[in-house]
Amino acid sequence: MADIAEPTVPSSGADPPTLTPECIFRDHMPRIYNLARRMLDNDADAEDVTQEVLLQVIRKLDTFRGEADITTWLHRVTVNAALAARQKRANREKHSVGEPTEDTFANQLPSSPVRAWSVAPDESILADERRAIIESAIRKLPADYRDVYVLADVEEQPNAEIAATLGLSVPAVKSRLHRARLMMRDALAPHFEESAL
Amino acid sequence: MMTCREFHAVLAAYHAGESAEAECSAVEEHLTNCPCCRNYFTSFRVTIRMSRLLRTTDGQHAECFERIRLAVLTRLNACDSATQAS
Repeated sequence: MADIAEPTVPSSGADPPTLTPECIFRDHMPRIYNLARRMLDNDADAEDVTQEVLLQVIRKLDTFRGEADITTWLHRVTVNAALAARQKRANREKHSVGEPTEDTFANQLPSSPVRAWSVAPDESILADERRAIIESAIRKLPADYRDVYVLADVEEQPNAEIAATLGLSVPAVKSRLHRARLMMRDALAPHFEESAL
Repeated sequence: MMTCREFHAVLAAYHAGESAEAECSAVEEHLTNCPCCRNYFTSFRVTIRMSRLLRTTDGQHAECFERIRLAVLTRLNACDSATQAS
């Protein structure tokens, strides 16, 4: 195994938390990787982004004051790295056409009667099959909507934080989030409506 | 009496808890009387709730995480070695 120095945070009071590379791997790598994977829809790109983010954070460990400090920073750095990776890929592929405009889903009414879902409103366990359906629906969201949806409804970041991270206004975040939620609901409906099972 | 179209227009604000009291009452009355919108609203909320559950089952990529960990440590070591050599 590689042998590296493990920096600690300078003491500024009683029982300061000690951040080490192994803590970062254990406590933060899964979240960084899964956020990048959902934003990029590509495991290899997510792996590259995770490496870069981890390198950055471990090199700066002695500048963080604790877990809250580092979590916020990690979200921003991961989102920025994922956006950069996506831009790089888009430059290679030149393909982002046909994404919905801001108004595509405005006040759109369902075209047929809406059936109840077979998912209990308070169900708290996500079976593998359901998980796969939801992950697939997220992957199919247009990128701009997917970013906001993943940050808001998977990562549970506040709108103001998402706005700051993505360089959007809060109303723009709210608008994209609502449209993303409508798209997600419509994508999931055929799988979860009562008569579909 | 609120219409279905009006309900869909205020859905985001109502769900976010940003509707005024009168609007909340109108939405709730509409949801009581309209099974379609009631089903829609319930499924809208379930969509969000299920998405939030995704993260609780994350972290099942052990081989990938070990690969990333080793790559990061190798690169850090390479940097340290280069710094010491210079």
